[in-house]
Amino acid sequence: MKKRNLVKIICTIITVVMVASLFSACGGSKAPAESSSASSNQSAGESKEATSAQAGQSANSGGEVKIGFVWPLTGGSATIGQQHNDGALMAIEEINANGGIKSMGGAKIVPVVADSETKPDVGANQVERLATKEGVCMIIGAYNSAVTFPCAEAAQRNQIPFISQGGVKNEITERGYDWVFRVNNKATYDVEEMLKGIDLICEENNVEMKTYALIYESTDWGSDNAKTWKKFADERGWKCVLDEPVTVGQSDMSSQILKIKNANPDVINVSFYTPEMIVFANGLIANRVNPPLGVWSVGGGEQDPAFFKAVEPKAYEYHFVQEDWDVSGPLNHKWIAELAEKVKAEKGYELNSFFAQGWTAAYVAYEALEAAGSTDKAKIKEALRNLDIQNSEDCRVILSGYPRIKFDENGQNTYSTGTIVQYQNGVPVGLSPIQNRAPGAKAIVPIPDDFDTRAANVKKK
Amino acid sequence: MLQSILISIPHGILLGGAYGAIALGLSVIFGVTRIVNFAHGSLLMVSVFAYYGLYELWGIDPYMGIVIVAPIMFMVGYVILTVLIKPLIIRERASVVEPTSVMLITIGLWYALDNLFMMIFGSNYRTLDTKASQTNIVLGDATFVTQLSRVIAFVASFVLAGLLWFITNKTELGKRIRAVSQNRDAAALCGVDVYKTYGIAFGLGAAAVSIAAACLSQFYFVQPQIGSTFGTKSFLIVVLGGLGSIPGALLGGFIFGLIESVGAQFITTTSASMLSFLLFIIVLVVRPKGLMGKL
Repeated sequence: MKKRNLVKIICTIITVVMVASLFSACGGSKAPAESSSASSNQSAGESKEATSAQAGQSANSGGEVKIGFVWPLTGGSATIGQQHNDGALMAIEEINANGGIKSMGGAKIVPVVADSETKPDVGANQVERLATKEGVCMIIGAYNSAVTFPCAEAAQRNQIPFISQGGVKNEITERGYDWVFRVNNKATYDVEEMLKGIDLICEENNVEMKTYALIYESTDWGSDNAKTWKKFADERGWKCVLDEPVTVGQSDMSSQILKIKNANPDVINVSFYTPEMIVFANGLIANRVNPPLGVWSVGGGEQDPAFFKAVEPKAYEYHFVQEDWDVSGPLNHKWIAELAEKVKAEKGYELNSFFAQGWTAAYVAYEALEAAGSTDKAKIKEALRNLDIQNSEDCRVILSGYPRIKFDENGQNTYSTGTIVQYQNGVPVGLSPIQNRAPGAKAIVPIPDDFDTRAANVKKK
Repeated sequence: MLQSILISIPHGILLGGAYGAIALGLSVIFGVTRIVNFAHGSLLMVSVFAYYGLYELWGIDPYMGIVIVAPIMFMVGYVILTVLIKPLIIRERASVVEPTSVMLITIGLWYALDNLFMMIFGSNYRTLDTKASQTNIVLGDATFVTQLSRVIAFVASFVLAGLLWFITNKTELGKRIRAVSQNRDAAALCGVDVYKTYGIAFGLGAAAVSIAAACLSQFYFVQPQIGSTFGTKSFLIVVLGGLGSIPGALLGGFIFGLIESVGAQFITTTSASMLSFLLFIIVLVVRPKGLMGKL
């Protein structure tokens, strides 16, 4: 009897932990757990008032407007998803503190956060749930291209405005889905920027680019980037000497690095999320692999503070990274510098592109709601279509540094840009486009063979 | 090309050694108790976190930490079997095959542990900056480079296999373990306490995976979801190598490691992984008990 009771007690404890973990997963993990679990509790209470998505109304109680977010809060992109969420929630906090949505009588925005687990099917299910059960009036998400692709489709089917943030797969905004809008770059823009960056650097330094290797995570983001890169690189007459998709979760990349060494490319183009980037960067420096025109990372893991904390500075020294925001923001704008200090103090990491994109997406949603003056989904869609935000010193919408946000007929913001930076002495130096370059900044090419001494004086983050 | 194939062979063997070390624990559990332990990867993850904690809080090197963590994980394994699994086996002892409820409870344990650690530690990827993880072994002019921790993992796989082989073949306890794995009821009739032996086998499996975790923590991440990758692979390795066979688990690990490493020189990495699974299917069709399976 005693043993049976013990079993019952242990089973009860495990059940409670599993149920608690369900709430924790729904509401996001760690830092935002307080605000997002509060909002998910709120939404659970208010869901009785939800009407169908077809009616175009969202659940409101008094002066509150619910916006859904789908981020990878667990899984391979967990740290990145967390940073997007932090940016979005901090923006909403500021918007609410400044009087909320004035055209709706000061209605406050209530974020309803869902975890995609970095899985496409889970992400799409979360969009369905947010649209039909949680009564949100619009949804923002989902960072990973592979997740955002089906999420956008689910949003289109449920006729709810969907602001795609982070996913670069071209097709997200090329399927004629009128409910889908994308604020950030698509793969074509990313690759164009990188190749233009290579052209610029080659011209300025009198070096020639001939061959490249592609190594990428094998889901939509990496594959799309590789496909687009090949298309534009072929037009320039560059030769692809290696095309290597890599399974997510790979613990050892010695074979891939051996192949790269044999292929001997001028440039290695990399698309990895954080875990794979850590393994790859460490492997490259250990094996003394040094393409003359450098490692060109499309971002992903190499924009994540968690990556920089996990590797020695020499592992990312001289790397070129396509940052999805203007890295000189804190240097050129006072409000961004102040925000950067706040983020460092409250969140413990440096303001980065993921936080900036989450912030910008939330503010774009707010601007659309102000213009629409209603939670009617069709009106919000119309407002997004007509949105035209010009960046300026006082504009707190665009933390990512784009000159403008305006969506074309496909829902793509054609003014989104990134910055190509090179890590020099552990610091990202903006190089391309020229207008994002600090005075006197220069690319370091060909990459020196100083494997043992590079970034020796740089402290690990 | 020939040079890179030749260099990829030792890389594959080192990788396979690590896989084998992780799968050894599952081989003991699966081979003896026939329990499909889906929480094997989670036990690996828990051990990795334990070493991380010991190192960050008190500066205890993971290899030294084995003397603390392995006995604790042994107890954890024993408790899991005795408290969670044994009642289900007793309840369904009329069944000839192992009860599916046991498999389900290990799945539940897998999710519970992974999510509990995610709640407590968050999703960040941490790394251990120990001497073994930071030291590279370089042969030639960076012709062959690997981390010292991977070489230690390779050696450890043999030591662990030897230890487990010794326990199961040269000790009284080992005799009991082999007896219950051959025929539970006959062993009971011979006076063996079946469930206590099961508990010890489960505990041994958990302790073995914790030793492998000490090695893994120094070349892989510390993150709540790392268990899933290795848990699934361990099953394939154990079944390929043969149920109940300790050398089989090592052999299975080496085969997987070599295919992934050498195969990747000819085709893409993703396709090379497919080769491992293809081989797995072929072996199961041709020789269902695995390469070195006895049972």
